Amino acid sequence: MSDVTPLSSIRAEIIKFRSIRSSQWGMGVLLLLTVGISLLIDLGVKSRFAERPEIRLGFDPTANSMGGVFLSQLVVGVVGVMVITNEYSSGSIRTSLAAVPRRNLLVLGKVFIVTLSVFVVTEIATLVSYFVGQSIYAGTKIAARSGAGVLPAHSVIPHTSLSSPGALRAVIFAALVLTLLALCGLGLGLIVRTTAASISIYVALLLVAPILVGQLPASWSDHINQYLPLNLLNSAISQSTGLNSLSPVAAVLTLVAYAAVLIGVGTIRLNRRDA
Amino acid sequence: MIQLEHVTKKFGNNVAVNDLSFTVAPGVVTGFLGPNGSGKSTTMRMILGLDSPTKGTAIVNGKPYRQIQRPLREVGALLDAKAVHPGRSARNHLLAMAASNKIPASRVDEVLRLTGIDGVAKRKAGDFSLGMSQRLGIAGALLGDPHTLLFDEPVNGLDPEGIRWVREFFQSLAHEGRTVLVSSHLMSEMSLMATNIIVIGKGALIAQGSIDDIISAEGGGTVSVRSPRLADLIATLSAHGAHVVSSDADTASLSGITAETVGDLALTAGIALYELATHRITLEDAFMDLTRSSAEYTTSNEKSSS
Repeated sequence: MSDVTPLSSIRAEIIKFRSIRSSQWGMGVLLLLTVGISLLIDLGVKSRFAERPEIRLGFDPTANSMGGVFLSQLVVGVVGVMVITNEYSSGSIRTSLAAVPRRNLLVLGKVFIVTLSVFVVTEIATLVSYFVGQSIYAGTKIAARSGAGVLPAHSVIPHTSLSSPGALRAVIFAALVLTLLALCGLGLGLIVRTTAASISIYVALLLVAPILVGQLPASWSDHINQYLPLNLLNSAISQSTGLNSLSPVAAVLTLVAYAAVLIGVGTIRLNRRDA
Repeated sequence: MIQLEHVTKKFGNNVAVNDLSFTVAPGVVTGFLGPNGSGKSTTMRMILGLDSPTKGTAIVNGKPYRQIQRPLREVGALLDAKAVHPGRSARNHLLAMAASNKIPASRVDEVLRLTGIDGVAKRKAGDFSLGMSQRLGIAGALLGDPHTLLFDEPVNGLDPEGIRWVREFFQSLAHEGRTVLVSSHLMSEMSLMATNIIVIGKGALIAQGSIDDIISAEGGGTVSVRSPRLADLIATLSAHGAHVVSSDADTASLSGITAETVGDLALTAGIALYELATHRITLEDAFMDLTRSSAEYTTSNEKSSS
């Protein structure tokens, strides 16, 4: 029967992804940045927890230990974008489409490799960040001082374990959100085709959209804010759902919808346009 | 077998390919000729289903390319030798292509050897010279051992030895009964490599057929004579259909007559001939004549002489 199947396309995409330096670098940067920034945040908490009430207020040890994921949102977007745009910039898209003429299968292979690689790497990164953070918190004794009456004497910074309510979910959802953001990048790349433009749009949606929405009347911006990509990660990993923010599950489902729409539109365009 | 039926491709208002129909038969190398910008590459992209025709259909082995079940085993193509990710090794590039079509990795090593780049297979494609990239592109086209092969400007950047290898290799592929379509702007190379040619200009078909037929249709060539009684000779020959292309004191160049006829007529008339020679026009001359009006970019020199 047909030589080109979902599985054969996936195998080709795995070879393509593994065989270029930029994807290896992307994965390495993703791992080190997530763990490194999380560690820096942990150390900040360790040194200031006792004297800064604003840190103690509503302290979420689970989410806080994975603080590096916020910067990683940029990295995963670039990784997702480049999986497709590097085919356009090098011209290899024509070789790829001549080998896989059913273009949906090419998209399927790329969705698979982005999902697999980004989820595995970010899950490792969030787990390491989580355990490092919790052990730092648990090992930091806070001397009770005058004015810090809320703290029991000789206590440590609050911390959780994976069996604590919501902790495991947060660790998984952090990686899930980053994976979905990478898929959004892939969808943008399919639609836009050039690396620079795709990354610019991705960064604009992530970082500029909140500024623009902030200019709207409060009754609007409060409602729209919760659906902005930048706030979805926070909602997905927080232990408490704030006013005007989505529940963790709703946040992840919102991102699933974003990724599905972007990849859907990108696939339709790939099918209809000349390569 | 490749068949184009009334294929038109427009990019906005620009007509890249205009109502083009042709058939590429198996068993011989078919040259695909046209000036720069005449639509050769666009046509090849449409054959491979990369671009969609605005009108008409391009059929490979009885189907539009995008419906073929075993793409690389039926059709192999080299479109742009540099269209490889520069950071990927040649071998990995071919391994990914092979995996997408369930072609075993052993075949990758085979085509690397066949094209003579097995020694550099682990080097990044971005470090390849144009000639090495062409060999990598040819290796990719051969991966599935396909019956139909398309090559867009495959000899660009090859050294003389490489060009000779490509020529003999493509001819041997055709002799095995495959369909081989090769585009080029190097006429001298095409006249050595191809048996049939398709000539297009401004996206439209100008001529197709065997090279011999096309050259004779373009007038075949000229006969040059040198004689002490040139004026008398020309008068005699003109009565038998010869046209004087150029002449000076004792030599003339004539068309519309063969050297044999000139010799016989001179003998009958008792006129001595000091020189008599046939000058066949080359494929290049025929091509220039055919495409002069349709060349996208003509130099002022060409314009004034035409």
